[in-house]
Amino acid sequence: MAGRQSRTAASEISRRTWLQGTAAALGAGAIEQPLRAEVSTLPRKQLLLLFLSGGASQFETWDPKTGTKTGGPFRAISTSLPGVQIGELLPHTSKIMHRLTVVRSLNSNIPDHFQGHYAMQSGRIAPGYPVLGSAVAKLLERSEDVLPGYVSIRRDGPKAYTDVGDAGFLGAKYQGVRVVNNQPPENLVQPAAVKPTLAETVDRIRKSNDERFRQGRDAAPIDAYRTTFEQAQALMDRREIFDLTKESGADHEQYGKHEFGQNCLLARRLLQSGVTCVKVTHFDWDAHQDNFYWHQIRCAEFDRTLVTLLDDLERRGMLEHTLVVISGEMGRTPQINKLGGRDHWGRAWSVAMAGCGVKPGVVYGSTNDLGTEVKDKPVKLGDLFHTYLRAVGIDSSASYSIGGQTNPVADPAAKPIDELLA
Amino acid sequence: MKSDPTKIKEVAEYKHHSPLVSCAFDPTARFVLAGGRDRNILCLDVAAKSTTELSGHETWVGNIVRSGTDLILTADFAGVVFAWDCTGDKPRQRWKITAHASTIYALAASPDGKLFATGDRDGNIHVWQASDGKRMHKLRIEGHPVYGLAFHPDGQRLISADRQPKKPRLKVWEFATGKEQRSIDVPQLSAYRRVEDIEWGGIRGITISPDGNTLVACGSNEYSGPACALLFDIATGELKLKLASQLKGFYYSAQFHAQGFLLTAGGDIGKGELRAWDPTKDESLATTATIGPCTSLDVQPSGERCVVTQMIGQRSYPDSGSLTVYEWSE
Repeated sequence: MAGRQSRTAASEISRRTWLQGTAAALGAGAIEQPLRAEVSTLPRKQLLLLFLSGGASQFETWDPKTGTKTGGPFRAISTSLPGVQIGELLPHTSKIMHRLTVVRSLNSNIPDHFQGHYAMQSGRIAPGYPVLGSAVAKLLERSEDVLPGYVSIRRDGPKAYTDVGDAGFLGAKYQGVRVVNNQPPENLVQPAAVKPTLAETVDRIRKSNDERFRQGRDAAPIDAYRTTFEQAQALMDRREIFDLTKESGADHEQYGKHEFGQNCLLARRLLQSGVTCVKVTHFDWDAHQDNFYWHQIRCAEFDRTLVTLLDDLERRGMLEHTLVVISGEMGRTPQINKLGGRDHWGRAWSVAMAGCGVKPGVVYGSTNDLGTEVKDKPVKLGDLFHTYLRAVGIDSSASYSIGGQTNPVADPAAKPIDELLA
Repeated sequence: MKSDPTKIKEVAEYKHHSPLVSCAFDPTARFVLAGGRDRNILCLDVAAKSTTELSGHETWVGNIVRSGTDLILTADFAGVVFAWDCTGDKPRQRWKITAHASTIYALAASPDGKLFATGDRDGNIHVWQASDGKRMHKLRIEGHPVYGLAFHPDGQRLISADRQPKKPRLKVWEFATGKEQRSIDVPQLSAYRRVEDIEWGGIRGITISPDGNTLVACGSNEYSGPACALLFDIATGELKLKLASQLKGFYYSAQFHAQGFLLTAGGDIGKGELRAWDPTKDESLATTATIGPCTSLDVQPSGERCVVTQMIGQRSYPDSGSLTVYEWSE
């Protein structure tokens, strides 16, 4: 397992170098224990989180219960994994099930959007911890990184319960850059009135002031401020990574010209450019009414785009070092409500993964015949957080040391699911 | 026999193990078929007062209508339509077609019994020959599911209701030529919630008056409003009347009685109603309360009786259904 590899001299040096660089960059955000046992010259590990906001129904996706009272109207279809069926709304995905890792026995027990959004991304119930994107951005950070470690692609929704917690105690540097409505961050082009010589002068003065100000003071805010400038400059220098016109018409078509498809195309560009973690939020799964109609619409977008994305990552050699996680904040009720909807449900639902660090073709755990309870191999949300970290080579039993306080990177009461790890 | 809308009485109720959402008398009124969240159809022999189940569909049956002199058509979530021959001692399958690649949300039969129409999730409307299920015409509403269909009595036009967000629409088609004659936006029946960016409302059922002048669209009056039916002048597209219940929820279905009054069926969980209206004014003539929301209704061809389906259950989760027979009596 990546996180338990024997330590070679090269890795020790590499780790020491990395830790020195990281500690210098982070100021107060030091690492108490070594977090990675890898040589940093290997292809960098990355993470792509596809977040199905609102809560996709496990019945209509990964865990169909066709023909039962709770199963809904859709049929189950066979997949490329012998003996495994998924919902008929995912026909493209069914053909690549042998490349996926599906957990059908998650009991997060949180039927609430805000709590679920936070908990499923932080692996914790208690507030204040960094979400997956922030944590991975920090824990996989390399000294040569210039781009932000975490980018969250979303729409400008009125109810932004997808943005919860974020970097927590890791601070502003890992908060993540938001790309809203498929538009690049604002002001990436330097105003024409600002000549290069003026910009250089301002930058020199800023750095000088920073150095003077940090003497005898807590350096962390100043470092975060400096990092923000550097990341902003890097984004300005490499603003073409947001330019989707550079992608072929065929790619646009294959990914889908809807918001989710275009966001996934952008995510691939960002990962390709070296961003450590990208989150793409696919909205509007909160089908309290007409669940079956809305899941037809949502799944049609998700299904084809997911397969295109995984194919693309694999073709480019990126999937072997990129973990793709597919999760929402909750599942949906076995009972079908008065309006043909399914409500919030956290007691027995599913998540999926693919790519780096996880075993393909695994369906882990199961629910009972009606999908009301986990039948075997129960999984807690904290277990998943450990598993995600381990899959990208992070020792999830390590701790952060922030401001003199030690905090476990992942919930000590939970553990990685070894059967899922490659 | 004259039917007095104020003298409606329940004559029988039949429980079903799953929620029911659609029903119809067969053309001779011997049978009633009812379907819903179940692959089997409840079949009531009206005279014998006994029920059986019809099998064949592989998934939920969302729409049922009678057709011509001897058929009942049933349509399901997998796009399949069955024609049930009702001339024997029990309905028997005459033909079956895979009409759509996606869910059928709307089904209607022409007044002369020769044609029927289906509408699906993807905005496809197909017009079929009832005798053998052969497709005759294709219409399309780009990008929006079809939630209601009704043939005009003139035999030339078909009315569709689609679920365009924020402004559900009625469209009047000359179906033989595919020409769209009129489009009517119905924002009153929208329940768009920007929070989820989901259209919760929409037109849930349509019907046309026997004289062909009035089109009724059923639904909910905005997000938290009452069940509501809107009456439009087909010739002008003008909204003539709004009939609103005291109940929150939806009107799912409406039908004109041959004697001129309009019946609406609707409600919310744990409460529903079957109501008779004077369609010339905003006047409720009679209301029959039910324990569950009334999800569909059908009036017997002779006009003596009607049947109503309901969803029954605790709190917000119906887990069974009922088919209730009402009669107008002196």
